[in-house]
Amino acid sequence: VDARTRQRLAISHRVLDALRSKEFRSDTLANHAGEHVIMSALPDDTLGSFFEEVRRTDGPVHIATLHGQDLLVVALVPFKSARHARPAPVETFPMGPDVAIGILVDYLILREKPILIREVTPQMRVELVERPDETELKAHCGRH
Amino acid sequence: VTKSRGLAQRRLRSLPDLGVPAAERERWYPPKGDPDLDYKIDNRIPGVGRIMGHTQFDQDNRMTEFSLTAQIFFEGDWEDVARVDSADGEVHVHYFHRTRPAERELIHVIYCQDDVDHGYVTADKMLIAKWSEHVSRWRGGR
Repeated sequence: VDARTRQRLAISHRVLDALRSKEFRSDTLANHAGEHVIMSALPDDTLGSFFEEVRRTDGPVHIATLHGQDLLVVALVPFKSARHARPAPVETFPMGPDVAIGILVDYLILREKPILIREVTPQMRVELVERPDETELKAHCGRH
Repeated sequence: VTKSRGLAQRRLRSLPDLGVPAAERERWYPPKGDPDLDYKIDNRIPGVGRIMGHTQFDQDNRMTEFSLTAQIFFEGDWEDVARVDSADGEVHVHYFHRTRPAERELIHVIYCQDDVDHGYVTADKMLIAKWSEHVSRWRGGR
């Protein structure tokens, strides 16, 4: 067992121990099946795999990680805006799949309130690699 | 009037009679639980496996029953490698194998409600600390 696996298992041990507390149980959210999904994550794990897990679970997913020596749990809850209501202006935070859990946790601690994440895909460089010749292009553009 | 033998005799009388088998203490069984106090857990450990299970508590937040199963993802399915639970009035562990039936081993009998919580603490340690041992045994390593 490598060091990272040992750390993940240690976090799981902390999670199982925390379940004995009534506050912990009532603060965590269940999915449609009534299960409380809690993922053991290291602070340098990236958000990408957790976005994927939220999509697959179709319900809340918790990330349990360490902040210093303390166990810290973050709830990721899929956001669905009300269908018929006028969408209220909400401040969203763009986050890519390569953002580290530790950074998200630090940010949440600073904000002291929930945030709405907008998942962004990695930036792409887009360029034409094959283009029609000039006269063909002008003729084509002239038609539109 | 017979002469009292004093302290030695009194000590002898207070000793249990080893000729009579001691009555087995009664096991403690959980009362019918409130389903609202049941907590289902799916603890995913990326790259390692997951721990599935449930715990149940009474109104005073004392554990009444639990079950924790260590699983690994193998060839497209989740497979049980070890389970500790508190069924049948005893905390016990099931060791699973890939190719043969599971073994069951008693950890301790539940004589009072506190024994359930002690069993849960043991279960947590048994599954986590011996994770690689459980996986190796399930694969047929020993």
